[in-house]
Amino acid sequence: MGEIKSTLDLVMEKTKHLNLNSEEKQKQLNIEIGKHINGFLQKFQDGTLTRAQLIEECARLLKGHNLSSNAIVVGEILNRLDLSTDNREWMDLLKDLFDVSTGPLEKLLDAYQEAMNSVASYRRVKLRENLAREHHISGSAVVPNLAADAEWLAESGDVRSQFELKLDEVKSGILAAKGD
Amino acid sequence: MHIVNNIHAFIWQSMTANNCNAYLIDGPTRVLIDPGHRSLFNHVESGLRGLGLGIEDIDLIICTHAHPDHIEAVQLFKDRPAQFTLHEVEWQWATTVGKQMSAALGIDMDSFLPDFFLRQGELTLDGLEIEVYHTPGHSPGSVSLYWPTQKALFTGDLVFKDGLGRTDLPGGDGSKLKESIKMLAELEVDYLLPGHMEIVSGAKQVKANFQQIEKFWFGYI
Repeated sequence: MGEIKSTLDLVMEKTKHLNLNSEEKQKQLNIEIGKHINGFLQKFQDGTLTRAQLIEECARLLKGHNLSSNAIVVGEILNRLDLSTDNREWMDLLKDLFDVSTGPLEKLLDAYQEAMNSVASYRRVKLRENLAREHHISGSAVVPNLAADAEWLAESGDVRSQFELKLDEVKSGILAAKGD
Repeated sequence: MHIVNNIHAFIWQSMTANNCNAYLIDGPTRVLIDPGHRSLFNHVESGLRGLGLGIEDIDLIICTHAHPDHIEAVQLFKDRPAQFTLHEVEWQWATTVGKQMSAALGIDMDSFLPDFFLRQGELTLDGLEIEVYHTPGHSPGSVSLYWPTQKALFTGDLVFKDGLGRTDLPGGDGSKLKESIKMLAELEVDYLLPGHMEIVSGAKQVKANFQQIEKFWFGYI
């Protein structure tokens, strides 16, 4: 009968000859620190950590690992920026506490909103025209439903994809300036 | 049941199952108001058949609100020509807070997709003018529909014969219900066509119904 091995046995066996050099170890450690920071940021977002407590926890964590740069914290905050949500809280943190110049980010997020509003307005007009022409339905009570419009879904998806690429570029620029 | 000119009512009469009254405006655009429960839709279908119509003849479905006993049968119109609409606030509510309520009754709100929304204002259907009133209280985005030419008022579950809609369900609001009823009581109505129970016919009877409701029920909500 064959030997029954536990998951731990299997993992140990597979990683027996696995060695990490110092660079890889640091990378692994950074990932772990990033996860801790992400937890603090979530607590801050949920209102269970104040701004001061967030800074204190992050500083303690970085100090505990002898890290002088706060690039990991900045990176985790940048990861939380999303085109479709209100990012003011994160932008304020970046600006006030980490000395990040948020101008390019703000400009990009505003441009995204403008682009989406423009597509939305255009599609709403088109949907109203279609309802009137094809279904003879019109009037001030009619509000087009963009979610039911295949063209809106496609066009807004394209705009989002374009701006996601631009957002990634701006984020990379900020991290590069932070020396990460 | 033929009410007047182009209005037909499919009145729900069973005492053993809950379902709503459905109404048909047989105009240039055929409008079905509140198709009701899916499993009980044969009640509407047989009514339509009696008029020589099928569900493929319906051009527009308006739901006065998104409670399952009014909206569920909309699913039967999927891939049919009919457009489907309800108030934008009602949809926002039904797909967030109200979603749990519908799920508890086995209805997946994700299977519905309104073609457009309503808000208070004029709705023109191939020349036929309907006034849409936002009448919250029974639910946040309930609407009542008023057809001035026929002096017909479709109230959903806002107001009934000798009664008013529940305010204890999620999204219900007694103060708003009273405000909504007061707003509708100002209209000239010959036919009060509620979402449940009997129709009220005659201008005097409708006015008396509003007065009675205000006098008797308003103190309780």
